[in-house]
Amino acid sequence: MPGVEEYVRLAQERGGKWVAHGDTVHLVVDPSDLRPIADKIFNEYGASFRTCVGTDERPLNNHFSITHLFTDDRSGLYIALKSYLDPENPVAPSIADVVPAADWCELEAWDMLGIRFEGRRLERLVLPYWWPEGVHPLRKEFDYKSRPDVSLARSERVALRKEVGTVPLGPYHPALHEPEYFELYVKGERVVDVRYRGFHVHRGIEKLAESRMNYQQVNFLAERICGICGFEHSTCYALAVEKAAGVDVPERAQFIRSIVLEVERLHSHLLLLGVAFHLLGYDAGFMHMWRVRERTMVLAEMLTGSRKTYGINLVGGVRRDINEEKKSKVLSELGGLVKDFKRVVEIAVSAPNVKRRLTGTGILPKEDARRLGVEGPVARASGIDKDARRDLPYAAYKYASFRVPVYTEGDNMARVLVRVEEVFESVSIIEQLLDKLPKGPIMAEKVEIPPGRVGVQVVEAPRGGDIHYVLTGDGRPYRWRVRAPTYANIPALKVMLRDQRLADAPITIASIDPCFSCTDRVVVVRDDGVVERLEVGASW
Amino acid sequence: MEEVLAATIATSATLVLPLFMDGVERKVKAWVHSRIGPPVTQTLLDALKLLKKETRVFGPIPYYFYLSSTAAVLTALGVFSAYMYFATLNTAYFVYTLVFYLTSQAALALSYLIIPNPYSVIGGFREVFVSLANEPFMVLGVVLYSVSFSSRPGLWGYVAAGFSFSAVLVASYVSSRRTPFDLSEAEPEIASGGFIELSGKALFLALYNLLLSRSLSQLIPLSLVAMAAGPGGPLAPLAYLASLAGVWALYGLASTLMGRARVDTAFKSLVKLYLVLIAGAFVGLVV
Amino acid sequence: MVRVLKPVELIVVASEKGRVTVKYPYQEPLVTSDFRGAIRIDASKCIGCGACVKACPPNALELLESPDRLVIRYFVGRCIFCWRCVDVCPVKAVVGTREFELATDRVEDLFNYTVHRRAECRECGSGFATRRMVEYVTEKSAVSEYYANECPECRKAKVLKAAARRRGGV
Repeated sequence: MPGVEEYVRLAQERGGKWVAHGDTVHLVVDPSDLRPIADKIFNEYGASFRTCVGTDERPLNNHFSITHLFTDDRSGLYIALKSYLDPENPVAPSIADVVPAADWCELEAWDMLGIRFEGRRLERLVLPYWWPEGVHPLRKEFDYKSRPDVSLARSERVALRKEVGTVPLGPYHPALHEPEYFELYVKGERVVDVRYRGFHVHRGIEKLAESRMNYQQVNFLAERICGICGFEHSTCYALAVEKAAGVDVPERAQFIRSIVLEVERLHSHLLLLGVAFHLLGYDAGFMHMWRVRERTMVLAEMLTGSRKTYGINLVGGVRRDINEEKKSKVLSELGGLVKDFKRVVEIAVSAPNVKRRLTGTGILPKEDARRLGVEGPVARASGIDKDARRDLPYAAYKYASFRVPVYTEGDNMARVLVRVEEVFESVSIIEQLLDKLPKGPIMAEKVEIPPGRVGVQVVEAPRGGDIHYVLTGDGRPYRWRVRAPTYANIPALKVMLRDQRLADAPITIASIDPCFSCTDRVVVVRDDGVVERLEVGASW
Repeated sequence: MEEVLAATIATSATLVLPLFMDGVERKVKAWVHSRIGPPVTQTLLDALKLLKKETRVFGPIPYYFYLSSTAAVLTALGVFSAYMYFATLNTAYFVYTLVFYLTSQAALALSYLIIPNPYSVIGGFREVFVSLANEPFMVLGVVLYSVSFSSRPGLWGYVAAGFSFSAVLVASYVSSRRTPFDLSEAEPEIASGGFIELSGKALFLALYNLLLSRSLSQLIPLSLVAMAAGPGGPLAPLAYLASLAGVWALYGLASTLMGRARVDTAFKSLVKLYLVLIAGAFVGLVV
Repeated sequence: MVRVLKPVELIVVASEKGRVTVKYPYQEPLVTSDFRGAIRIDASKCIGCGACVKACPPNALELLESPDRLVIRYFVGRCIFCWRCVDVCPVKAVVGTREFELATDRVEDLFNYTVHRRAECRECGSGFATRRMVEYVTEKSAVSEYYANECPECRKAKVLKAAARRRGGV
């Protein structure tokens, strides 16, 4: 099991610099060393690749930088592998061939910062196709309010493969109500290939936080990254800033965070199970699952003041306390809830066709899962035993004992069962933590955040690990990078969908519990396969 | 005079009842879902709204669609007037019902295939595929039932009748296009399958068609029972309709307890099930 | 056999749970007592310090300034109901409510204005801060009364002058 020394040696051998701070090992190496070191960390030491962060550090030190973030889930270490790049012509070697999980984040760094990656194809991923060349919005000279002068070439070709039939799924997702576009190429009812076109609704949240907000306001922005697992994002942000600044957060606040995180996991898993049953045509299971879920929503409202987007996180602590009355209410409600859930879910998975269509469909082999760096229940259903709550303990998880369910089948049923078991574990975690809830304040007395510090944090959201990277600045984050788990899971859909029946495509897509963000854009698909985007109600 | 009146009432009831029975089915579903659900008249109101809406012309041959849809309406009328005409249920009536029913089903499936939209074509092929597994056995079941009933008294006759009746019952459920066999409408993603290009009056016709053919397919096992019960009095047509409502609600309840099948598994399991049932009926007839 | 019939158990569940749909809005709203809804600004307490505006994450609270007036505008359309303003208000003028039925067909209903008169500088007569704010500061510390009635500009000028005098200037 590699420890801090092994990682430090990687940089030392090649004449790089290193700092080990808390649970994070920072390695700064020459760009030419990025690829061999990343290869060693990912393929030899078996660390998980989480994301990469491009940063425009020209105002600070006249360089761009690229940071690859790994976590070693066995020794509980974060590894930040950083290289400084040329300010005029930032070029870095691509690591996507040795670390396939880095594919998307490199493309994103190219789009947003203009960092060119050598040794791979570069294409638009995040920015819309009509965005002007050479305008990279996360560069510091780009004002967050400015709008590039674009002449709208308004169509984008779809149905690229002509030799097979095309079935478009999207651009809206009728079950998940979010914009995404899957193009399934089919022969009869068999899916032979998949093309994904996403990021229709990139909201520029990182830029907004880096430009307009202050540290405490970003909590509320972070919570709005996702409508389902927002609290994970705000916790992740707060923990990253606290880690960077060395803020001493009271234990009680950490317990409350963990409890609310688990309440959120409950409602999220129940939501997905309901959606899965709906997609399998079993609406009765869907309705009853959501009936049970409603009880968790009421719990959340009681604990935080809001059914969703709880708004109780601040850097340094939380804003709502749990008193004795609430504690006993939660405990009594959880008992009934878990019985209700158990009964409904047992009936639902025994329903004809539900069981049959979940089993053996949408298989993701373990090797692909590791290579693509999938997260959460998707990874655990494919035999990868990783859960940040246990491996990289944060908040108050070290005070609770729980089991991490792992299945090896990698099919839709395994992904459903992982979530079913996690519901029971979450209930048990809430009960344990409420029982041990320490006394004391819920907010740190002093929150001072010096500039130039780095904090990296992973929080296990219901869909997998969220990662937030914060480079502190003056009054607000200088660089804030967010990666949600679906970002890592979508590339795996290509593997899962191929050679499957068309009818199972929706449930397979839903089985990663995807979370596409939403906004108002309309896509018109014309008869000739040309997609036209109309801006509706946009102010620019 | 009374016959004419009874026939008029029964015929118009045949045309309107499905719209209400769908409302009842939705209430039943809502009950299993722990919901309130829409009012019983909701389907009727939806239908009226659709009639007022704009109809978008779809595909190259809309006439074919209208023709096939109207055919189903006429079938429903035909079946009931036949009942009135023959006064009692006999073999001629069954032949009449089945022929009308099968033509309307085939016409409907074909109209899905003709609408130039991938979803519709997928839905159409799924429909055809399930029908291939289902319809032959429905006919076979009806024939075996009639044979066992007319020519084989005694215990073995009941065995044969029981097996063939079960086959017809399953077949009528399958062709009522409820879960798990509502394949042409497919996954929520593959929006509405055969209906995707339809709007306004055309959508009304298609949905109404679905309800009428549902009604017809449910009539088939009922009429087998009615045949066993022998000729009824002047109120028989009304009793017939009332029991149709009962079957409708029961089928609706059953459909809430199941998920949707996939076309390949549906085909395989249906064929297997029918082979067992038909074999049972043959055993009853031959032994 | 029992396993085959397991799905039928759902009917038992349904009959036990009954109908859970609530006939809202004909019945009580579903929110609990802990619910965070829209905020209300008590104009009689507000001093116009702008702490809430600084804390507000979505810019739902804005400060509109003119030489003689200072207005706090609350736009409920942007509000995320986080109640940060409630937390930071020094005089408890902002209170949280449980209101959530905020839809309206008149856009002006979505705005709430709290208007403050500017304090007048004793020296130059120009408007600064708000009258309420000056009163608030004075109440807190009587010593500050002398300074509180001067605008920041005049105060700055005075301090500079005093410093110069101490150094032996004019």
